[in-house]
Amino acid sequence: MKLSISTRAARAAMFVAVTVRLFLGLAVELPTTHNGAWISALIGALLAAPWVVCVRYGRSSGLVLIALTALDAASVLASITRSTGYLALDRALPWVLTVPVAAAALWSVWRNGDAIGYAASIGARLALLLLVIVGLLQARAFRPAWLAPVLGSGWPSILEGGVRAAGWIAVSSSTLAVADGDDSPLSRLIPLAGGALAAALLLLLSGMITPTRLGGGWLNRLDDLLCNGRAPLYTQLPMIVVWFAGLLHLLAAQCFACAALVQRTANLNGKWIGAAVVAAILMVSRLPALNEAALWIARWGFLAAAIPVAATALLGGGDRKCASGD
Amino acid sequence: MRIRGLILMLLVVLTLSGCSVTGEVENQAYVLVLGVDRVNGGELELTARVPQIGKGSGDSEESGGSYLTFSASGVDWPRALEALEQATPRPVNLSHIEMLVVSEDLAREVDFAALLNRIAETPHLYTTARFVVCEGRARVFLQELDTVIGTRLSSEIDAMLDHYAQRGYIPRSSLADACFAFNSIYGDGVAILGTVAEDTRAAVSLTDPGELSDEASPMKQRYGGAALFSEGRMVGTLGADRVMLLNLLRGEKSDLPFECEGRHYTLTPKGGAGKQVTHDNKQTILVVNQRFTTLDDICDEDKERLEAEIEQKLVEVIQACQSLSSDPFGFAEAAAARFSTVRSWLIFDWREHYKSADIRVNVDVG
Repeated sequence: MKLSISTRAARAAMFVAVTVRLFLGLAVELPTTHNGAWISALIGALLAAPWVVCVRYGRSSGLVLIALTALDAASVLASITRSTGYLALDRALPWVLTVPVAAAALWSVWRNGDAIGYAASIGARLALLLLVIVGLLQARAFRPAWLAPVLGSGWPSILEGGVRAAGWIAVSSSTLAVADGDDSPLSRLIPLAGGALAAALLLLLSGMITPTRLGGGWLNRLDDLLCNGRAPLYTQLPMIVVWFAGLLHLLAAQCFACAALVQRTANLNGKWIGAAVVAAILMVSRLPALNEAALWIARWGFLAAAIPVAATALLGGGDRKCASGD
Repeated sequence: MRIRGLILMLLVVLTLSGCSVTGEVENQAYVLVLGVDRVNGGELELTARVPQIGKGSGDSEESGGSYLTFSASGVDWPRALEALEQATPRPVNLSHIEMLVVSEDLAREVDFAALLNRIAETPHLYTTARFVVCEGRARVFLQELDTVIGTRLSSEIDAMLDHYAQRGYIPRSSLADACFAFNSIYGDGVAILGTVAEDTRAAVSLTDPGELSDEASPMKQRYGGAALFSEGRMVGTLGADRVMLLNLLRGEKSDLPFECEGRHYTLTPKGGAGKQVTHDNKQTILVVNQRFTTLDDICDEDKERLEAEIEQKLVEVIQACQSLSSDPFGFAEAAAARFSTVRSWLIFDWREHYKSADIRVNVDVG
């Protein structure tokens, strides 16, 4: 089985992955920029734009992308486990919560790239519809005054958040590196801009539903996101659907990109590679050291992803030749 | 291929986290109201009202109603919760809490905000629960709840508190609201104030628990007034007669019944309270511009008197809170808009400016 994805499906997968990853990173995992998070998302998109335009599969960039994407996918899977653990009706072991999600990701990889991309495209439309309904239902709970002070923690923090955002964009856009055919820079930038704008909008909305706080743990922030205690209870279900569907699309896209990159390096059967990659991501997601790895990716991910791509571009597209078998 | 896929899906289903035997609704102890007290020189005492699922309505005096009361204490929140688990014959489930009741003594403790955060961060605890501070012990308050908890999972509590909030006797306050306020960089939180009256006639009186009324009510609890907080701890109260104005300043759009020189008016707020914070020669000024409409007949002379009366009452409410260093109105939000970063806002030290701020209230009845 050859793991492949059309450029159109890759762009759809990238749009959803970028939106969800930026929101997860800037609003839940590392919300240190406070009200300035939406600016960080846009700065991240600007920083990552050359990367998104240039990224192609190559041996050097491929290996870096495999490592970064796999680590970030493990981090996303761990986030999903925490979310499901928080929402589960019963007290359940983390493995029980994680394995079905990993199985769903594996099934998605086996259905191949186009299924993942077009599912993300449909998912984005449904999510938009649900978010509009939720927004209207809890319109009275939004407080624009909570968006002040508008720069949150200030420019240094916003810029740091921008670099992190660029790293998350890089690992969420790796489907582009394995997409069939070639597409124009503009067609690659559109989903990037769309994803960043959608994430910025969601960050602004979440800023209006929960005030800037100087404390609070991960669960608190997740609670803010899903049922913040201020909005009507009946908006919780659509929010949960949007949240988990988005995370699943992100995970599936990352697992697929990782498996497809491995296949281009090792040239093995896609089914076996998919199973091995998802199993590896599953194992890593349960490692205690993952948090530190996730923090490292947040801080240095963009640089790590950008250097081989930049080197390839500067050296005259040598990696592009790899893609065509040279 | 399809069969293999089907088998894989069935295998995956086996790993899904569904309801185990202990997860069945009948086997859970759904806590509807949770009370928290400080007892025995420092221990936290939790009192939980749990419905007996499958029983009928809860008015039977003989059986103590269809609700069971469990109490347990521990040196801190996790240990008290663990003790409650031990005292309760079924797994304690906090996902349906409708009301969290905290004793006033506990709410006045210096590190109360830390405790409330700890409570709110408890997995599966429903943070939309109403937040009530009661005079006296929370345990006693909870024991008087039988008559108002309905047969459905406490829709009665919601309906009752919504009704009181709509009438302006209590503020709208949830556990999430309080926690957000305690941790946020903006103003302070408020809580619903509850009391257990000596008898049911005293419970009906809104303005003074000691004042007996001719009206009758089957319940001894009295919900009226607001508990005020400053820096995460309770610092004072506002009576039910002033909560209406507090709600108005907080942006509630309920009608305001107002009495002026023996005549009753019903005023409808037009838009939210226009709160602004300005600075004049380093003096902070709190500005409120509130417009009302009314269907009542009112001559120009009475209108001016009414406006002046409302302005005076609003100033008194703001001053009362200023003296307690509590900003439940949201002036801080208006003031924060002038600052570009959280750091510059924190350096500004809003609380100090707020305490000594001048007040300008403009009321327009149209």
